Amino acid sequence: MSILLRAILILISIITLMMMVRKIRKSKLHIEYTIFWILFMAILIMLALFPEIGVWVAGLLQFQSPENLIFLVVIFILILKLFFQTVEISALEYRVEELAQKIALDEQEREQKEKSKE
Amino acid sequence: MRLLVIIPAYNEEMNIENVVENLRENYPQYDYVVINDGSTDRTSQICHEKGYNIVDLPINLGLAGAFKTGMKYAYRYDYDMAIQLDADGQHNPKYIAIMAEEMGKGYDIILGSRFKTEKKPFTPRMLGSRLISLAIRVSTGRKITDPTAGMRMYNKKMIQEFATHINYGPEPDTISFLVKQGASVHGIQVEMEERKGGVSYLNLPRSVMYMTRMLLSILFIQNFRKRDI
Repeated sequence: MSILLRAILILISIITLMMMVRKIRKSKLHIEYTIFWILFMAILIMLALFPEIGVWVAGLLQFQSPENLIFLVVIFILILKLFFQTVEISALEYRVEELAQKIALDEQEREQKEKSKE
Repeated sequence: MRLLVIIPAYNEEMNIENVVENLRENYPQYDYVVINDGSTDRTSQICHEKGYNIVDLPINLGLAGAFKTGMKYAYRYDYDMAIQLDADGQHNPKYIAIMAEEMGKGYDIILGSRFKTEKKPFTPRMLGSRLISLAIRVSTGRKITDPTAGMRMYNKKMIQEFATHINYGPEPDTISFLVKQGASVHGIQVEMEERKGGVSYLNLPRSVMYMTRMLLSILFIQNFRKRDI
């Protein structure tokens, strides 16, 4: 693995981690949601610091180079993350909808009751 | 038999008054509810000033969410039948009685179709309709002549199902799914009016998105859905 790629991996990981910490500090983010990113960045840093791991696994899986392995693993992890995020968004949307509908119906019921009292 | 007319309305200040007044004056035997889908114009004010029965959604949920609110209303107040009537004045309430009579024969859903007996014209818009019809035919074996027409009446069983389940939008893919799962659906011939004011929601990109979503949903996704009732 080239020094440049290792440097880029470490740099990006550290910047991402710093952004996470800042968001947590500004209380814009639930800690649960940062765990994935912290672990993800940790893996990237590990691979950059100890390229032997990449070389070893790449050899094991018969990849042409450790770089290929890293790219593939990163893409795969991101696709998975994206998929689960879609599932989460869908669930959230459903819950917001249910709440909005309940509020609207309750409000109408309250108005009707007030009207009939008059 | 108690019947509820559900009128989903999103920014319909130009039409809502005509639609509801027509209903109140000429068809006082039907209960109705306007579902204001978070409109940003005067739709809600007009309804409140006139004393219409209105449910105000605090946010815009889209047609499916607004219609579901109407079905929840019907479910909450125990209606036997519910019909969707568009707030743009395209649906003529004179067909409600005919549809309700058909429903009495034991159907789950009655579809108002512009092309039950009339021929479908060859316009770009109807090309989409034909494609959806074809997809439903491939998927269910049934011929639905006017799948995109919104004037649909539902019985009590359907009200409960629509009110309490996810992915039951008032769209052709839901109809296709229900037909496939054994719901009894019947169409009757209706005429539809031209929209009187305001602007239609449909434009080219939205139409393409809509078609893609419908065809994918009818031909593919609905095969994996389970109907738990």
